[in-house]
Amino acid sequence: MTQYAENIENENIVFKANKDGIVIILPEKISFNELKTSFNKKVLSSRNFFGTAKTRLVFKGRELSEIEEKELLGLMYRYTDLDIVLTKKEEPKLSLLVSTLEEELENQDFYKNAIAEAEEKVFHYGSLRSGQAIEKEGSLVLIGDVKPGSEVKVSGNVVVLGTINGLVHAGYNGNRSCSISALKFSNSQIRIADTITHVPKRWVSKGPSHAYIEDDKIFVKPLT
Amino acid sequence: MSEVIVITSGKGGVGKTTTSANIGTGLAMLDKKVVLLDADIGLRNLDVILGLENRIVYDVVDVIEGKCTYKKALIKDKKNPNLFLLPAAQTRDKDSVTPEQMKELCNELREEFDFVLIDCPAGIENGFKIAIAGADRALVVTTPEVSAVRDADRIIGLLGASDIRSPQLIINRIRFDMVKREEMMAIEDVEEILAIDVIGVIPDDEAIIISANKGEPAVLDKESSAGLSFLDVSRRIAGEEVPFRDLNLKEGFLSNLKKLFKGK
Repeated sequence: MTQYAENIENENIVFKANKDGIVIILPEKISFNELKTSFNKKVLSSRNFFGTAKTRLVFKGRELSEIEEKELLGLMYRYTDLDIVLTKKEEPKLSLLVSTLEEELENQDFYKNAIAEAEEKVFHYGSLRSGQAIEKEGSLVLIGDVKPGSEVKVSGNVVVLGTINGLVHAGYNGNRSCSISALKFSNSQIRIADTITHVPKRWVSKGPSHAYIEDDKIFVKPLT
Repeated sequence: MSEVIVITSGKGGVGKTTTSANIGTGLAMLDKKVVLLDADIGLRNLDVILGLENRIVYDVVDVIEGKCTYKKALIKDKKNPNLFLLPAAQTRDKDSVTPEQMKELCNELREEFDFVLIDCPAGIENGFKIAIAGADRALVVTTPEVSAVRDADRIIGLLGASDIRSPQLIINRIRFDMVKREEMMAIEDVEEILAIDVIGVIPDDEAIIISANKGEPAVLDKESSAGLSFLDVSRRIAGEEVPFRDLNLKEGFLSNLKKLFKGK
């Protein structure tokens, strides 16, 4: 049953019009010759759907060589009255994602949101107060202070544009090449991978500094 | 014979943590092996008072969740090799621990230490119930203020409903000059209202604030009247008979005369 449904889906060529132009979703599993035949049929039967507009074509769902693309374009030229200005091929790797996220792709905001989301994951705006914690994969840029009683734990590097007073743990998965940088290191505990150091209570770094592992020890050196 | 003692008060800010730190240090000075357990999860302070906040790697929640053994989480005091701290977690809340787990932990600690002192959070909710779960004995801290005494009374009532045997009272931050002018409740007044044994009276002392900032309990300071009183309480807890100091006199003519000569 599902097999049958899949076949139908796989052999189907779908035309969609959106604000970018006409999106042609091609089946992935059939040979190019089969594709050409069904494409031919589909285009012929959809002549009225296309009209005579000036438009852009986007091929999706299948990897096309340059020759293949030209052949399909030729068919489009021959059997429709479209004024095609530009064609765009989809990246093959995205094709799977594309079919499921079709709606969002049509919306350019999707890309903007994706970038904002990725940025949000790296950047943290505002200080961490006592009891607050950030734990995540990757690196962190914290714009603010790490106050006493707060914790930062990441698998990558940490950059604090402020003072570190709390606990900061970089490379918690065991990556000893990670580092911690801050405008000021004060009364705090610093951990990199499996190494721990205590910043003495009355010691304060001279300006922006950088903590890293050397000979199994953590060093805090001024950034010059 | 080891003992698990919870230090509680009901009201916040009366000096539970300060009392815990000082009595713990005092008992360690008397060559007892002591562990201070901070049960104030999410609002830990005992590590700060002891000046050990940077040394925390594991905390009580890690121990209870089985991430490490309690031995790994213990922090040895800077000065006293008999004193250990088992810190609270700061980024968690009181619901991270159940009373049963606390009881189990206390029994484990009891094996190794002469005294297990538990710093109880303020309030009468879950945090309080968890903190008292494993205790044999309770010390109720109050200040000579009506609000603190009222809350202490509530706590004594709640302790009565638990397995803990008769709680003892510590009256903290008393000012004898004010008592003399009848502007502050006297020891006798507090005793009468609460009707439990007083195990210590701690005078109000600037040294407490200074010592908290330094991360060294006042009991280490032989000049501090509060520190001396805390040491007395420690002695009494350890089973010694120690008479109450006549702080009234000390704070009066004699000490003023001493201060004059010392140029303080």
